Amino acid sequence: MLWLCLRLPALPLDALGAKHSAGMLALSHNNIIVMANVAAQQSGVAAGMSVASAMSLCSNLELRPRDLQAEQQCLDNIALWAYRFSGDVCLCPPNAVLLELSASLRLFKNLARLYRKFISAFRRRGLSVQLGIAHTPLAAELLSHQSISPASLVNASGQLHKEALNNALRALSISLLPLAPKTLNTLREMGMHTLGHIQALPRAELERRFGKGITTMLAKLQGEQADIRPKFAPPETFRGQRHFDGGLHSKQQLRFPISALLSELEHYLRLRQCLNRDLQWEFHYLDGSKEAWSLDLSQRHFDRRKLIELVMLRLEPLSLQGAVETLSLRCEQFIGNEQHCEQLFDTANSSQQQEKAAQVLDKLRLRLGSQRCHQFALQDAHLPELNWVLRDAHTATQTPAHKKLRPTAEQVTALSATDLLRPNWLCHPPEAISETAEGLFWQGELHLLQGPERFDGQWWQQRQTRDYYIARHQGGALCWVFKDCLNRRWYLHGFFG
Amino acid sequence: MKNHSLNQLLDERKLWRGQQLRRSVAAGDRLSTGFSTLDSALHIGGWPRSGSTELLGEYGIGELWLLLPALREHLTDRPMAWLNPPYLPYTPALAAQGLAVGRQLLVRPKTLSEQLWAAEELLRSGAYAAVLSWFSEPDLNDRQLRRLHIAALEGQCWHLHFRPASLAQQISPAPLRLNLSAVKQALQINIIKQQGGHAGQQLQLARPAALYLQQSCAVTWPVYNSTSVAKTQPHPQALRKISLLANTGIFTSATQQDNAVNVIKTGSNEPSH
Repeated sequence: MLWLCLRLPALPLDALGAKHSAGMLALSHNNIIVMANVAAQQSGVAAGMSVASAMSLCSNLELRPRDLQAEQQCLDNIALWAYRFSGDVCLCPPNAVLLELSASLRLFKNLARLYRKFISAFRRRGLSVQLGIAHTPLAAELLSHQSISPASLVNASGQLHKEALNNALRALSISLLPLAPKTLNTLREMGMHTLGHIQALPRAELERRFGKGITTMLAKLQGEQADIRPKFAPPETFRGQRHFDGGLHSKQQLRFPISALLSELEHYLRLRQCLNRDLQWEFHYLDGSKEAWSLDLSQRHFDRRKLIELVMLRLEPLSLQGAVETLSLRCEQFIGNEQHCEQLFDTANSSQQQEKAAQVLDKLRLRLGSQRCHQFALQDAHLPELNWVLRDAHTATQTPAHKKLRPTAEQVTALSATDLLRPNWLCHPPEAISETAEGLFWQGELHLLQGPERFDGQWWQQRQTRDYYIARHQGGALCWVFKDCLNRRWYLHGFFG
Repeated sequence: MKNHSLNQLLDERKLWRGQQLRRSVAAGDRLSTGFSTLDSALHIGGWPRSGSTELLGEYGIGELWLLLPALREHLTDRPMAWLNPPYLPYTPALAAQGLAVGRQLLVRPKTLSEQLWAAEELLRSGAYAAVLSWFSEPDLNDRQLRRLHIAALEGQCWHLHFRPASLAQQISPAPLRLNLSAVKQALQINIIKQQGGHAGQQLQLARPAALYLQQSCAVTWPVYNSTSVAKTQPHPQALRKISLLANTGIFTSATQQDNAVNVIKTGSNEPSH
């Protein structure tokens, strides 16, 4: 077992994103200074001071309340990020995350490479981090308080140097140990200042004097007793947000944070091996108002670059009602990743093709509205205007069943006579034809050629009795007209296109 | 000197030799129209597989019927899209003629700019084999037409652009332009422009005779105005005769398509644009 502990000593400051502010800054909680930044520390402000004494030390100190919720959120994000390196991630509040690495080493091959990845990721985010590596979680946790370079404790293939590790543990101050303050005081009074001093004492004596807690702690530290901790699991819904101090004013400026949020989502989806079906965005304006907008997707795999274009397209008709202070993204609907198998020789109907169709459909539905994109479906009914339906086109690419609807070549050549006498164009609703003494008239004269073919149906609702004829229009077009036998009027119902 | 300037034009690709172009169009780049006479009238031997094809004419004269064999072929590969059609495509009839219902998309954008945008997206996506488009304002300018054509080439998509016949004289970047009109029981096709040689071919494709079947003279038809409705009653026999006729075997014999087609090659040697 190889445990790595990532400790963020400046988490309260990092969580507020205020670490780089130039002025003196301190965080307070219950009138006690919790943490001060470098500038404030130089002028003498230290953790544990009361607010009043800190203010008397330097009058221009900026005080902010500690945000525990933001800290928790920040730690969760780090755990989520760490989850891509290891399946065994535990949260160690208030400011550390533990990872089990021995299984990951098989994947990442080299510990030094993995280690560099951690360091560069934290540097990019501007977070200061201390690492501790050991054979038990508790030891890693304790070692992370001291920044000992892991290179001296472990080699590249993940083998710990027993000697160096024991030396480092022995040198640990007892104040770091998770023991009751009273026990710590007694130990200190006994003249024991490092872990090595305690380890040298016989366990049975220690247990008799200080209770069972200290021996189990030591056993866990050495790996003699299992140290079981609750595992971290990625949350069921995705939430991400970006905060802008001055607020953003234009949509183009939003492009970069949107891209960053989508890349966060991409990692989240890879962790959970699923696909999102919606993107719910929210703007928080500087004046406190909110605006929500969402995007439904029918994609079959996540493509960030295509998605950005789609989001920007969705953003186009919106107008910003002020400066955007916070942009948040939420995803709640997920589906499992589809494992589709591709055939070796079938290039025509490949999934890539369907992917393209889904993308263009997403775009069209987004800009034109879903009520303007349709898919046809057949229905069993007698009347020509009832035996088809228009469906919203979003299910278009997900039904491979359409193949069986296509008649084979033999069926096509053997068209029955009645099939030929159906128009390719349908006027819906039918247009009225005016009757004059000379005959029928609709944008020109109509001459009946053949008929009638009677349609009589729908008696269970509103009976319809129609005699259909084929007529030639003055201009040469062939029309499908009918006479409604009930109201004795003529209607145009289609063209033989 | 003359020869020199001709070479210069050829080098700058402002001029090209039709013979070479015809050979360069490989067999895979065209699709048989399903009508042998039309295939032979087109220099590349069929419909192009990508790019714009303009069809100028009215509705209801057989314009869809002309395309059906090719569209059937296309649909086995990729779906097709209807963009802003003037009427609804009647799916049951089209399905009976072999166009799979589930592989058609109907898009009806409201404004011209949205129509152009949607057309370009559909053409460029590469997901659709054919896009049949009608624009609410058919008089598009050269730049818009060229954009559509290039989008269709990029997306390997056959863009069928339906426009009114009044625009036949207007110059268009589409490599193939057909003027369609109805003549007696047939569809008249005038090739206004085509790649690979001279245009100006005229031909007629006979439409299914069952459509034009004339049963009897119009006198025996039911009378139109409501005042004379009563007069239809004295002729029940005539009506029965008509419906009987409709059920005889004439229909089945008339299903064979395009027999009797004449190609009239005119003397015009107008080169394609």
